[in-house]
Amino acid sequence: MQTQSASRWIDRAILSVMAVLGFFMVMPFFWLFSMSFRSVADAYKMPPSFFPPNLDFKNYWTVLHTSVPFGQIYLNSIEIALLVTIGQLVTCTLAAFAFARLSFPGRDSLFFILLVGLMFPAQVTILPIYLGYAQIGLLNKPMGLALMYLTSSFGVFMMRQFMLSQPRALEEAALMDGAGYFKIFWRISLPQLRPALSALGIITFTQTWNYYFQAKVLLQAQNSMNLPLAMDALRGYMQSGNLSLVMAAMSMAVAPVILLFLIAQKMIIEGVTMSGIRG
Amino acid sequence: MKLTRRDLLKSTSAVAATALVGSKAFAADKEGTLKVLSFGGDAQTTAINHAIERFNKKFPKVKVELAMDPIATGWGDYVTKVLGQFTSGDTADVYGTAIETFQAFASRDLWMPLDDYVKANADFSDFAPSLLEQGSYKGKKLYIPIGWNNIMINCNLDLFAKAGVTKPADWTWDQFREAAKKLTVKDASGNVSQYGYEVPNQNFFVQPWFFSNGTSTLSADWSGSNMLDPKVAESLQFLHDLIHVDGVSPVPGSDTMDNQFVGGQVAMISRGHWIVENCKKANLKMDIANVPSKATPNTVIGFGAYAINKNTKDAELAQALVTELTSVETQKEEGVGGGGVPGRASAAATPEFLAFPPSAALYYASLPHTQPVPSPANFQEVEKIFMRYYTAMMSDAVSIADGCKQAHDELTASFDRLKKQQG
Repeated sequence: MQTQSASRWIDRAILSVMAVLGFFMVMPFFWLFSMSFRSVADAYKMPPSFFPPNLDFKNYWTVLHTSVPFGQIYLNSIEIALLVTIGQLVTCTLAAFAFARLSFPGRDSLFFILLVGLMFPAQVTILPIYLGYAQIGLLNKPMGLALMYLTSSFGVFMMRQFMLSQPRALEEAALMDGAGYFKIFWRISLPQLRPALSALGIITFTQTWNYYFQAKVLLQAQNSMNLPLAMDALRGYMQSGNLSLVMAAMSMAVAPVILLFLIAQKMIIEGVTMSGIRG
Repeated sequence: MKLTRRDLLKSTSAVAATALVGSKAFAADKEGTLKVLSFGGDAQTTAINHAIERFNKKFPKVKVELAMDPIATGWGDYVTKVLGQFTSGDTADVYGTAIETFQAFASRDLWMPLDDYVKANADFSDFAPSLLEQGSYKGKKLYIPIGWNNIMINCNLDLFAKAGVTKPADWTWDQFREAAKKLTVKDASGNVSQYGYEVPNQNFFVQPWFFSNGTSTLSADWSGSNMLDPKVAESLQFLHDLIHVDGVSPVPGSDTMDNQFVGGQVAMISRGHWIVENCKKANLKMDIANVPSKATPNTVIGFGAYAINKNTKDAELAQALVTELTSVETQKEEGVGGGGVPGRASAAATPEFLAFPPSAALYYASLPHTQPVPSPANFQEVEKIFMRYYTAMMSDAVSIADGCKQAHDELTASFDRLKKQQG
């Protein structure tokens, strides 16, 4: 009995710590939404208030009516995020299947080279990409940014790890029955990959939604920008703009990502756990 | 054959009408795309978009693609961006830029000379002659001015009234320091809830503190460092003491404090006319005062301008667009919106422009006491070197004496490299 009671207290202690940590994680989001309903004067009033004095949607209205084409920019972000997510799900899964299930000369060396790609930050590769895009007319096109990330070393690695944890028996049986590799991939491997595909999809969508550095270099025209660049533009000349306005724009920008996470959080956790990737 | 006055009038009208019809037909038939890269916030973007709409009424088949840069991290990064475009070959036709960048671009021969274009537009006489002169490089006019910004002290009038401080038109460093102390509110434990002043965090905003002391961070011809001038150290010490001795300002960080000024947490900040845009929208009671003087009443001035890419496919079309972008109508809209003091005197004399802030006339009145921001061809390096040491000195990470010496050494090396590059 004493042991049971002690374990209940340990559970409670863990829950309390988690609750405190959760509170600190939610606070920035709460403050973001809270600021977005305030005027500049209210936003910087001392001492600060937890809740906005009233639910004023003026900042949201202004975001949609400034010279920054926020609606178009929102669509650009959706286009980029969807293209990259779909692209990575297709290419990373196919490549992962090859690395996990096929035997061919130089497989492990190729995989090692692929992993080396994880070690180079975007700043290293952006210049040749910029110069190349200028030659083929892909600058200032959302499609150009999407094209850069249609596949990723991380995605291949993650899917491969997941595949390695799956039993091979079914695939081997299919092979013996005369099924080709693509049929095995399509009919046997892919259905088992659902949790990993969801996790990769959501991780990729979130990452792509937040591209800033790459977008700043490749997308300079206002109509081609993505949402992080819109925040810069809304900040105003020499950062003199209304910060509450930026908070309203950010609230609109993070909404789809939060929604996606809330809907699919179970699949993300399952996918990441099963693939053996630690965050 | 005898030519009567009526005949002459008829034939002149016919020629004029033909020319007008011809020019309209020329405009209507012109096709193509013009790319513009300019800078600014909402006020400038709106005014530029309206100018493009007017341009498109004359040239309906010409598509204008606009890119705007908010200059969030200073002009050095803008130089890098434009040079990157020229390196890649993906350039704009028309560039909006500012004096900080003039030499950096002109010395690389990026622009088309505009002397003939300026001569053909008598309308440009509306600009202060000094603006067109400063837009010249080695005797060629390369830049058509837009608006200018001189740094003034912006004052939150409600906080002044609460502290019982009268906003002066002119003041000395000492008077300013006393005002900043009175405008700073601290609780019993010394925690500040309202700062009297924001010691600036950008190169452009800090320059008046050197000019008003009769010095500068660079030599008079912008060809070398002047960081070892004791007056430079004196200016820096003054700013340092505002933070660390008087406690009237926070240590300058990476973000500007414009929002805190509008929100009533800072009583005074050094800014140009662009701050008006946000203050107007927030219904803030604010006004401007001249920068405090020590040896001189001088402040810094920077101005914006348009330049045309020398490789543009259709120079005539690009010039027609610049004419619209620098028109009285565009300048009036930018001035009232808060995008800068209009370069055209007529656009700055309107009741709408002079209505806010109450002392708006001071912008033009202080023009004789302005010095251009030091803008050598290696500006992007100079700005970064200076700001790195300035921030370190203001945060006490390095002493003023050591900071000046180290900044001087790095600046000197940068100028040596520039001299080598220029042969």
